[in-house]
Amino acid sequence: MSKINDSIEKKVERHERRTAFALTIPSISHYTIFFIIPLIALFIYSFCHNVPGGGIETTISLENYKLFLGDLVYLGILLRSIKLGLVVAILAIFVGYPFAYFMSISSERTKSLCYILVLMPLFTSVVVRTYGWMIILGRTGILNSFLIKLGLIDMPLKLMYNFTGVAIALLEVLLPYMILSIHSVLENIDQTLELAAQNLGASKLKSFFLITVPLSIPGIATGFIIVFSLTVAAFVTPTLIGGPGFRLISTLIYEKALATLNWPLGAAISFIFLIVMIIFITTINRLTTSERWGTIK
Amino acid sequence: MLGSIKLKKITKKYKSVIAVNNLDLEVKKGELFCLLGPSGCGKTTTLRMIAGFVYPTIGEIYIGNKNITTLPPYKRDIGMVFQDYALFPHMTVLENVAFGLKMRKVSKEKIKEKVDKYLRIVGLENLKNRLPRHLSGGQQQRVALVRALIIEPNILLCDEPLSNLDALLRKQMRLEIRRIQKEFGITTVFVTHDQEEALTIADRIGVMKDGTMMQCGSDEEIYNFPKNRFVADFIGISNFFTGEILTESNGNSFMIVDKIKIKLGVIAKENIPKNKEAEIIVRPEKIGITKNLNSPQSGEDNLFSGKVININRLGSIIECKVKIEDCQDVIIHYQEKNQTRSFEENESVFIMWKPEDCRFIS
Repeated sequence: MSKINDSIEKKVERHERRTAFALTIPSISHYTIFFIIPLIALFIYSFCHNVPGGGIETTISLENYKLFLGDLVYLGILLRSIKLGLVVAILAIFVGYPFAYFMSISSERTKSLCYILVLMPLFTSVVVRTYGWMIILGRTGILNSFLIKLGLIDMPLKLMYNFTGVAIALLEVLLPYMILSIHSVLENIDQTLELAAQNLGASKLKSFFLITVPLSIPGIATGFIIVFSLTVAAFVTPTLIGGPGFRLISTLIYEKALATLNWPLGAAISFIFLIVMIIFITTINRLTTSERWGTIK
Repeated sequence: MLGSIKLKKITKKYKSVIAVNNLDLEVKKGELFCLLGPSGCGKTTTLRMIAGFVYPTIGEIYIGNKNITTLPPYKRDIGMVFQDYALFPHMTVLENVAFGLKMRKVSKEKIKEKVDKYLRIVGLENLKNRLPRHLSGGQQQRVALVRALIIEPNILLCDEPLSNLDALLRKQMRLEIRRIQKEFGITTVFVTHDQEEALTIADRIGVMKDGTMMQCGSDEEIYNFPKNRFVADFIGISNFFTGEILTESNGNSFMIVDKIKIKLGVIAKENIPKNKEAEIIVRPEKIGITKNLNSPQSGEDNLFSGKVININRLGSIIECKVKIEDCQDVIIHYQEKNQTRSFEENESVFIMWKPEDCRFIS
């Protein structure tokens, strides 16, 4: 008797599994055609030989990888990109968290207003926003003119074509992602918890740092990963504000693959970069995942 | 004196809404006081003002002789149990319970000792290292209670702590809370909307409606001598009679309701209001019901004939609605073993009650 029931159960399960799988076919096919297959192609190219002038010889070797990993300048660029990612992401936490917290404790009306303020920049082209920063950061730009007029500095600060300028601009451009990420987690934290902590003797500040902050770590981590990834992959802003002398991994890949048409080298650099990023993100994810904060691996 | 609570002329206004209206309240040291009332009556707002999460618009709050009206919550030495327990989800049971002691900079050894002791009182010593999300509702409730008690506060405040539990667990837990409260002798203010809960565990009850205290007293006082219609209706079930008062020359008083005359007893006589029209209640368990008049009846009792409208079993009690001849319906509660047989719809019956069981309400 039970054997017959088993096979009926199994048939139903199989059918349900197939239906569920069928629902994923559209996105999996899109993903495969436009992402996985090109990625595989790129992976193959990275082992190929570049013919100067724009050709590819399919002689498989590790020459491209060796070229990149053996060159200290290139490694320096990789390091600089990572450093930029870390600086911008960490600054985004300290600038974005207070605003996100303010949003979570305000009235509905103020909250809606803040949402608009945070989302509006995302609807503006990043090119336009970056040009805006060029106007502010230049030697004769708004910021320097303002500071000189106030008598706070004598000589204009060098805020363009260097790390500082790029970091400032990227921070502003990517801040909304951090704010939204933290805010969405804060909204799900029961406000009674801070009250309970205060009732037990914690001051308002203590209850914030002992209760709210730890519970918002998943939001901070997500925001960090998003801002970090978008920073190191950024192209427009570093190109315009950093200029040709300030090279990052993203601009390097562009330079190699599209300017000098050295696809194999471009591909190799991309994959080295991809692996570094995967290691980074997986590590951060592992460090901030815990049953305590409601996230489970 | 320390451990008593006094609220003087407390009013809380939110823009145009008056949540609490000119409330005067005294809670004695060591007693369990229940704030009882429907949603929106102001009981939770009052509790939050005692806790310090909300500041009163007008009025003062004293604990013992100390005026604490403007003290922030973390300086008030009050333990609070919240409706949804508010356990810190990122901390274990041990860390939750130890939190208050940590804030008071108690030594690690002392903390360990105390936590073990208190967890044993509620039977949770084996769950020290669990996270709140892996505890049942009843277990979470006990952790919340112990977390508040371990700091040995002067006052314990409970904001409907049992509302999220199922009926059986509620009954068990409220007795547990009462037992612990008595053992520690801690002054407690317990907010609830469940009148059975209040009647079971409270030393005194304060019934609130629309921000006002309608009556304050022991469970006996509130049940047997409700001061107004709201309290009579909210606590238990009442049969209301409205009518003219007639006082005969021999001193007997009656109330005329429709075509019947209700005899009013000694206790009721003392409270006879000045105006001729009044309202009385009779509790359903005070009314007897019988099919025949063979058993001896006291000539003093109110006796009326009527017809059974419906009859229902409410657990161990039978509820019967009877239409009194030439008058209104009444609800009667009795336990089956007191009657020789049950009654059927449309059956003609006699109902009776003692004159003293009539209560005036203003």
